[in-house]
Amino acid sequence: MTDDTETRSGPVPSGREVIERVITATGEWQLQRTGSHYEIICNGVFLMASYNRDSDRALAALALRGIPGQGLRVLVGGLGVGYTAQAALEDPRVERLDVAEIEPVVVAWHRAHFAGLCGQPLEDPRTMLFLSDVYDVPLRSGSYDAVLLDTDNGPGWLVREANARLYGPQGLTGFLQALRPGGVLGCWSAEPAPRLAETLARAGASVDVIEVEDRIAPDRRGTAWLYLAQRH
Amino acid sequence: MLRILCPACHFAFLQLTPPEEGEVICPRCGTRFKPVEEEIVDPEDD
Repeated sequence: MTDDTETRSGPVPSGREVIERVITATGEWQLQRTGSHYEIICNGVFLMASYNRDSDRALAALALRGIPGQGLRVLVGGLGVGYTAQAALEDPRVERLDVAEIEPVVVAWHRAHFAGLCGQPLEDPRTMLFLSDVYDVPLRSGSYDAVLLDTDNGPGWLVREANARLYGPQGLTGFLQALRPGGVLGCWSAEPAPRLAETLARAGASVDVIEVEDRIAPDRRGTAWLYLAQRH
Repeated sequence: MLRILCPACHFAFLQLTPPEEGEVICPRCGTRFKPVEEEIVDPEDD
């Protein structure tokens, strides 16, 4: 778990206030605050912020919108702030939500700082937390209706090199095969990812690319890209 | 797959590998403990 913890108060040169910095098995993690918002930096790379809300929620809402039926089972890769998980739970058809989060410190920060922002998805009785790399979650064929990946900043902007395997042919095919027919694999990206779309299409899925407006800074709006791949 | 139950807050979570040095920290309440009520489970079993 946590190997080293450093807490610093007061502003850093960027105007951010560092709340906590820890070094764990997956690297260096830093929680910082800017105004009323929180940001997480992983291995020196911006990873997520509490103002990145709309596109995280859209990932779940748009993926689930295209899936028929009841009693849906959903896997979310990367808890993050918790917006995607909460948005999935807001669909009353979702019967079970598995959330895979590799980093315990992110879960701790979620509980301490983010849960109140997003509705406390880990407290929902439909939710099961996997303290695990989403790549290592055992996947059976046809076991999920939706798999939602919100790791790194997308396939082209990784914070962990090991996560490249999530977006390669083998990883994506594994997630697609875990879907029931009609199920959706959704991937979030901070930038266009044409190779991701090609890989998903080559794996036999129907791919929709959706641009979603979101805050990319507390006072600046930008675009995020959602890749929704539906299994036939 | 290990299903681990926190003795303090009763939060259940899954972990793929045995906890290091036999101890885990509950991701919900932060309690450090040695799991005694852990079991191998199939994620498909509810």
